[in-house]
Amino acid sequence: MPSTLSSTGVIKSMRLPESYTGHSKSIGGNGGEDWIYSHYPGKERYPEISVRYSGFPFFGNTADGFRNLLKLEPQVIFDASSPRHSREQNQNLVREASLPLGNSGNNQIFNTKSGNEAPIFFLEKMEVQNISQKNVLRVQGYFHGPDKAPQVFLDCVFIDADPKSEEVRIEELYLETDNKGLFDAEQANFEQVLKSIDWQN
Amino acid sequence: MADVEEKPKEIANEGGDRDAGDAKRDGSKVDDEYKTLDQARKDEADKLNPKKQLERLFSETQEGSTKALWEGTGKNYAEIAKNPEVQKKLQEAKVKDPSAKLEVTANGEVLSFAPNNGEKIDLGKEAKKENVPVAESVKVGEGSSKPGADKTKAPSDNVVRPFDPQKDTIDGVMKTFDQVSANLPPDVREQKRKELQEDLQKSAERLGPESEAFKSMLRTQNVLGDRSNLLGNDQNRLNAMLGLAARGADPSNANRQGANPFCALISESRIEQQNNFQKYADETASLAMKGGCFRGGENGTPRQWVDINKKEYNGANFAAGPESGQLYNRDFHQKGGKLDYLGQLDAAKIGQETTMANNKANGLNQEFIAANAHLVDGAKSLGQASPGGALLERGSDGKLQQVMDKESDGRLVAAKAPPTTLDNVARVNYANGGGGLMVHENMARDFMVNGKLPEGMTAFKDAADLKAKLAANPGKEYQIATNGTMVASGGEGKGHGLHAQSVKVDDKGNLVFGNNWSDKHNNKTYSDEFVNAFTDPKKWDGYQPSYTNPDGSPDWRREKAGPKTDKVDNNTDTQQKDRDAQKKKEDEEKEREKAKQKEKEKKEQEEAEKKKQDAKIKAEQDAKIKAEQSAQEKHKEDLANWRAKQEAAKAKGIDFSEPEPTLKIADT
Repeated sequence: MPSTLSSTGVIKSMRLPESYTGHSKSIGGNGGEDWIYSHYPGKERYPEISVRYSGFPFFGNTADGFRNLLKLEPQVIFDASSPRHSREQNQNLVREASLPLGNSGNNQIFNTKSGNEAPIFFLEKMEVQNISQKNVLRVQGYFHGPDKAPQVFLDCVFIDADPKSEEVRIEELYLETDNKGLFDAEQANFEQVLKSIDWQN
Repeated sequence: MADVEEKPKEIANEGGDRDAGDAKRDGSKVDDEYKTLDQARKDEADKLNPKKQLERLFSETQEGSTKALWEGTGKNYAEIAKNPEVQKKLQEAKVKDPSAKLEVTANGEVLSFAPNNGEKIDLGKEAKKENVPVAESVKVGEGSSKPGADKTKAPSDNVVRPFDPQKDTIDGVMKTFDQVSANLPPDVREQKRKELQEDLQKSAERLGPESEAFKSMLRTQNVLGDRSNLLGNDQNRLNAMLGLAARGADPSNANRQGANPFCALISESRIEQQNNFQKYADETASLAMKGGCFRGGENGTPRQWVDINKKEYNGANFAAGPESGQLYNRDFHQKGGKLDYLGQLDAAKIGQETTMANNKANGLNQEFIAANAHLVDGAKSLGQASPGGALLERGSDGKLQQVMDKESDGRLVAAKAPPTTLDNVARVNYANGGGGLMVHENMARDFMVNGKLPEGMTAFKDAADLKAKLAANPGKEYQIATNGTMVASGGEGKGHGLHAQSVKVDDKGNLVFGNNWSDKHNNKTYSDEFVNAFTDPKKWDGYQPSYTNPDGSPDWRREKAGPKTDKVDNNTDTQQKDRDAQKKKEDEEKEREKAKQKEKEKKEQEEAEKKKQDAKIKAEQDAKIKAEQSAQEKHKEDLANWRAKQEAAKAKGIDFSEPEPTLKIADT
């Protein structure tokens, strides 16, 4: 398994599945300092395992909810299929942490609008996980259009790249596909990738 | 063709602000306002009518130069010169500006004239039609004969209602704010109220409290807060008002690229706001009420309707996203570089216009959605890293479908950005009165056709030449093409490649580069050497083009300003290698430092040792000298005693045999 070429950020190295032989990078589209490194099998668009920084840190209240979650012991924060994990208190935690989560933050809990400002992401699960001694926020769900039908499936971990810094720099590592079967099949690979992460000091 | 645009939708309450709760005004007063507006529009149209311009030019002339006029008559000079009617006509004409040029036929009919700004205005066939409204007789620029390209509209056509001196005031705007902010928590509402008031005051200072620009801005504020507009809800209306005030106060700080990778669009909007805020405000009002606005019309280009709210868009451009839907916040949207609601509308407007320019140049039929493209059938815009926009193609069946871009490694991915090639960027800038897009000659020459650059594109040689070209209008911002990676980090790998930003010459003659990224990149001055490096593509080591010529060099005609995806060699960890190389370099540096330190310490030790040795030697020498001195003194004393004894013995006649004392120096 080759090691990742994503080493600009907090992930020092990780091991990718053998089949992920395509690699690309895009830098600076969103404010000059953002980047995304993508890995995928051959020339296919999906599945894709990407590491990304959105280009801008978060400050103050916007970021507090996210950081507060990472201080918790690893646990399920929200699970749409579990009554126990989808109570109001769980939803409140999701609301407080959603804004820094980019497009997946535009989910049914954070955004309750209808019509053309309705959410685009259905949040299935959010949990705090510990990966190689570091707490991360893991989000699973799918993007959808107005008809609510799943279009793009996402499994993403959000990482506080510099917990000592006042501004919160959130990096993302995610698996994304447009096919549920493929998504399920790639889950095991993605778990292996997560287990292989070596963080920067 | 995409520049065949629908006419703007008539709004139900056109001409009057109909805010709920606003007292109905006297009908005759409204009629009078309309008359005033109609007259203003007619006057504006007259200004654009070449016949009237010619008449005015002649009538205003006090004295002319017949020679200059003759030289400027263009073709068939000899024939024209012989024609007594022409001679009479031209002699009658007293042209104030000798550089003004007339193009006339042999029978003396004036075909065109060009005032001193070089803008040639034809008096085409349309001008001779009877019963054609004044403004419609104007034939300007290329493409004006295309059906649907509206060449008749003057800038004032973006004005959605007359100025209301009672309501379009700072106080009036604050009342509108109070209506649309009613649902905010009291403390937040008070804070936003204060910010709006501050920004309105700053706008008044920047634009002039009595200026038409400021009046237009106040009117647009009330239009944005009008609940009959297209913005959907009060949160969007409020955000648009706060965003407009921030732009009025300081365009260089209020326009940020965050969450939208469209450097060319944001920098263009920023420059337009700097140059002509009245135009920007009127366009914004038109967007809010009609879903589109007239764009272009400057430098002889046709004005055209840019529609960002076609029915099949399902309101995508007007729907707020997670960032643009947040209450406008200086930290979040300006300092934090997040997309604000008005920025979204701006991106939609200029993105669509850029796409229309590209359609015209390349015979395409594409359209651009800036945000929420998932609402449009056929668009593919969803995903964690997606900016939410989409470039769409209208098929022969009239339906929109996603344009797919081929990336450098052959992958097909959904195009989510407008076609911001430099010629299109220049065209939009030119058509909207910008000073132009400054492009280094090593890139610009690729765009030359028959020895001419595209409209709006200006080539420069180096920093000195750039300064000289901008010096004619100090303080005015122009667009410029740069290497964003170098600008962002001096080559550290941040920032995208081909980048569009702004540049001006300040009052001290420095080049100041505006950038729509974060604060640290904005309004910066660099050394000439660095400017030469990040503007000249010959100096862009490591630049990875998306499009190449057969010889492998970048194809600048196809390269777009904005982000691109680069293929990275299979199984090679470029970044890791870079990082390893960097680490190695750092380690070597550390080793060097360490060795240096060791050397220093050794030297210090040696010096200390030497000092010690020197001190010891000195002490020994001192001791020796002291011993010598002491021995000398003792010897002197002994010798004196011996002589005294010798003298005493001699006096007594005694034999004196004691040996004479010798000098004895103790061994030190």
